[in-house]
Amino acid sequence: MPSRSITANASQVMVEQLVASGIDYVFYNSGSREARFFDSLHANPDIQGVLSLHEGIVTAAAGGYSQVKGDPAIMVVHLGAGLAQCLGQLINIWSANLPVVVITFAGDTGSFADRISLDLDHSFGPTSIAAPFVKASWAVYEPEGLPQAFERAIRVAKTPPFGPVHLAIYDRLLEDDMVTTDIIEGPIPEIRAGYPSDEDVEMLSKALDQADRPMFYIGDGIWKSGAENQLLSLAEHYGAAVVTGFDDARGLPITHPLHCGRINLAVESLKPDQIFCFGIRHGGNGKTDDFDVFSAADRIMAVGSGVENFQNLPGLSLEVLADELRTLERLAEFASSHAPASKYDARRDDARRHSAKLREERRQVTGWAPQKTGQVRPLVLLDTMDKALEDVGGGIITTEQFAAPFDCIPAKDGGGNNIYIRPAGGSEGYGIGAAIGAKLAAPDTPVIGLVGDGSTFYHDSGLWTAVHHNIPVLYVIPNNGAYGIVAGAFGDAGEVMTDTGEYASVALEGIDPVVIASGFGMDGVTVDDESKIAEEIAHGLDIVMNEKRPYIIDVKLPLGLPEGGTPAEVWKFSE
Amino acid sequence: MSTHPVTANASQIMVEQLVASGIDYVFYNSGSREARFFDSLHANPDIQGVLALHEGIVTSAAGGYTQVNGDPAVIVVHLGAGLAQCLGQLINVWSASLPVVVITFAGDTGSFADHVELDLSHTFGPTSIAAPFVKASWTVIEPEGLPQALKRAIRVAKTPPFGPVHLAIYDRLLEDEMVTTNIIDDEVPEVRVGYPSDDDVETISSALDTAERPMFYIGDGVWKSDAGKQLISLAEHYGAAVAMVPFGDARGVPVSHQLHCGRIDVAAERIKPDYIFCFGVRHRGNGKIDDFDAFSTANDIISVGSGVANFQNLPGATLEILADERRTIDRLLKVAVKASPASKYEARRSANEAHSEALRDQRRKETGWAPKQTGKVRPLVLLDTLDEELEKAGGGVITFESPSTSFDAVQCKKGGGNNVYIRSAGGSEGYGIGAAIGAKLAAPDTPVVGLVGDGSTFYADSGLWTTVHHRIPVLYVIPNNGSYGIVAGAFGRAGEVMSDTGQYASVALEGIDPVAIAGGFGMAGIVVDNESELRDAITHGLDIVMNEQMPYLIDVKLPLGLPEGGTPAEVWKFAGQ
Repeated sequence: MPSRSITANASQVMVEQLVASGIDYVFYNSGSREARFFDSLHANPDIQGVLSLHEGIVTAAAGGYSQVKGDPAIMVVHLGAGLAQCLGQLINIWSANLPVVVITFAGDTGSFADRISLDLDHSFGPTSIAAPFVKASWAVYEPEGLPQAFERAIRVAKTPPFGPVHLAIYDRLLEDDMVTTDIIEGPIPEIRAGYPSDEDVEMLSKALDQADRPMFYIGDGIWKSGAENQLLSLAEHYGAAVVTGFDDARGLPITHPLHCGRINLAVESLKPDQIFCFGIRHGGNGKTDDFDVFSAADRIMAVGSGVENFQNLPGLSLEVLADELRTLERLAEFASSHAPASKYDARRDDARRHSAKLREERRQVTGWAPQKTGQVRPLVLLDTMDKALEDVGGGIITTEQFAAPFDCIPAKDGGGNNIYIRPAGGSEGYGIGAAIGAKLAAPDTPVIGLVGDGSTFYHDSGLWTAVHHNIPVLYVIPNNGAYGIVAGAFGDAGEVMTDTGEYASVALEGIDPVVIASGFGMDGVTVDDESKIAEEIAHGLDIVMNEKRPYIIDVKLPLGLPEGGTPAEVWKFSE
Repeated sequence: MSTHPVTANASQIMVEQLVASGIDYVFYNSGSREARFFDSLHANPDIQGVLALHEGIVTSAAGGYTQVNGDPAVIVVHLGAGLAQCLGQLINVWSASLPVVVITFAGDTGSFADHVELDLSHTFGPTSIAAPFVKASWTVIEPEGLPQALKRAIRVAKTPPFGPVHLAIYDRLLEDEMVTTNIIDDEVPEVRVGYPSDDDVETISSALDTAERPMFYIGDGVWKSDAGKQLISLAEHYGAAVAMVPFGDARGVPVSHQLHCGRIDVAAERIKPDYIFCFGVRHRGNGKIDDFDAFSTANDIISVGSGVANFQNLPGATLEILADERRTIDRLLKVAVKASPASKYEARRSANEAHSEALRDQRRKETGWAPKQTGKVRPLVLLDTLDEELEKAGGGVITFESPSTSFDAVQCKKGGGNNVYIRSAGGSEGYGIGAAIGAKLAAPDTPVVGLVGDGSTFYADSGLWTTVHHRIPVLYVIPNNGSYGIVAGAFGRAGEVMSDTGQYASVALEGIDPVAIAGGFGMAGIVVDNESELRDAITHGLDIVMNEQMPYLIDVKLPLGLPEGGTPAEVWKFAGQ
């Protein structure tokens, strides 16, 4: 193990070890007790601190960074309270299984006062709050062991299946005592799950060859193992339809002509006889129809790097605990040496037809509202933005909104270059911060935060972080003036609101995101005219790419209530 | 038990039971799965929903409500994710031991898919996330039992020592099946801990009489048992110094009272109390060796409180009385007036008033270190003006979350005055904006000011919208020092690079305009950067909230909150300057 000796205070040791482990950024909200840590962080030119004004934003930024690059992201939040503040977004990190290391400092509640400011009761140890939200969580007491603790945290987070790790470090290590220990040099090597056996490859290949209606159900294991191109080739070769879950949007671009969208909407028309799961954790609602999507299949086979890739697949006939890339490479070798792609033309045509039909259905659902003065229709926004980004070579979009769902984008041969990422846990408030992390992870790629109005107001102060550190993200707010998804559910409930058509508690009236952005020092523009949308997006992209500063475009969409619905009268405390 | 039968869907039953239990408001952020619950809530004219755009604001609004009127507050947040979002503020509610009932709905992760949207893994049950943050947490599966479950939750939350309760209700109860059950009509009665024994009253009274330097160390048990006035009388009678928990509860006795000596750690060092009488206080510290230094001079520590938390952090306590604070203080007052006249304690009283004054001066000096400068309002000028104007209006409630204008630097008022300061007991940032909303609902006829620092405002700025949306006339006053001042202070004392260079990184909050942000949420406001305009601005603001009944915001530019002479360090820019 290459290492070098260091004598410094524990804060300096921590920062040195982060640098030695190849960490470029620490996402944080600052705190008093951590004074020496932040002092050391800012004194070190080889690592940058990124400040956000709420721990939810800190967490989303770390998540976005890791979700784009796959590299571990480090965040520091202030004691038990800061940890509690971040949990609303840590649930998204946990759901996405991202390699984020959360560092907190914790006092001793077991000997002197058990009531400590900004911390919880002695009945709950410093690692217990985070436990449900992380892959592993442990406490660190010995300053000499900090390099090992950090290296291990990064290693555990980054070993497939990835996942967040929490370190609770004894706060006495923030004092100025000098420590002599060894910094562990060198980045953590890439770790992968193993290869599939020859039998497994053969069995999968046979099934791929023989299936009438093969479907690939893909998850985050694809991009995490770097298998996007291999997956795409294999799907094209065998003419397989591709579907995804709710959580991950990478793997294969939704715009690929074989992509059939979310599995629950796709299987009804696809009726797959063989389902090939690649790096997917199936999810549901805890209801009896959670597994309906598998009912038509004769066989379900799954490849993945952990038990989560198998445990929600009832009736699974083959489990291959192996790296997705390694498996897909083997399958591709087998495919190219056995039968030409032309053998599967019929299936391919079928899958493409389904994909086109499903896409058209989604576009109709999203595009129901007629053209109206003073509004931009969601599909106009979505198509214009996606095209503008493709025109500049492709970009990254952190999407957190349902008014203009990214799965409505028109198909592109090969899928195009745009990458959409989303909060896997669905916990609101991810998009603003995630775009910040995404830009740091992809410095040469334009990044758009496509964040609904409701999600923006969860963490609008994240706009300031983009200004403060001059991180040139283009925020595009598809502003339907409502919690549209919730309003839709209210409309479906068949109760009073459905009957009256008056929707309470879902209209977000009288808010101006551009004015809020200006309060945080960010320029922006409101667009309520479809004829201007293309030039405003081009202008926005010019600002972030050439002027290199963040910008916001508030796009007025049709009101996000069920058709014909109006906002109910709001209860006012003072009339 | 008086009940009436009801046949309705479970959502309607929940809302009916809340109404029957005397609940006026439900604080919430709406969600899809709860469609029928929110439908029923909004269809019922006897209860109002208050919408906030982040669960942290939902939680702090509920906290502020109950912290002002002592009544239970009910919040509904969306599934496991919504619960996680609220924990950053639930830690404040837990620290303050407030009777807040948190309702979430939870799916079944044990049978069908264990990966459920907006929820956690099957390894953690629906009550486990909240467990560290509440007094009790349980699951409700049977729809017929909802009235009992809600009633019990309120009762557990409201039985001293108060505390938050979490109910995880099975989400199938949000379907439209009809249920027949009984709504429980009676309100939850006031529950108190019992009386002290005669022996205990005698022991305390005799200690109060013989002590040379008696100190009352008071906590939230005083206002929660409604013993504030009685405690003031007792302190005045015996001439006792009054001290409070650092960063803890700010009610009980107003800090402006002539016997209030501020936080105990600072006060005890000067006063060296020989007897410490603890009333409803949960002592706390930093988990360090000096946590109990405040007690080192005391020969006797006597504690009265309604739960073990009032005793377990008092090493060497000589008498523990598990009794209601109000009942105990009432008894003590009876003995006091009979036993000896207040004049007997004149010397102590004068001594403690002098201590109070000296300590107050010291605090005012710390808060008021910055010289007068153009374009800035000094913190003490802001604090004094605001406090005076509220007193002129008959007294107000101030939700305080701003160390730069620390409320304990407010001037002395004989008897303490009428203003009530409340604060986040846990210190978790982002409480003040929401708390002011709840406070106003709890005290509809009293002016309410949210005195919230800039850093704390940006934790929860969308809370401003809630006041606009529901037209809740809160006056927000932002003591804007352009920084995380407390953190900057700690950086200054660390003796590392920043203190050496005087350049402070990661603490300056530059280029933010709270009035513009408020404007974006539909709230009018004004910037004040001139001391001579401050009083007019505050009276104008009070006029708007009290007479026009609209919320309003005043952004007050304070001196930059960095250590004296410090400047913001150059900020790392991703794409250059």
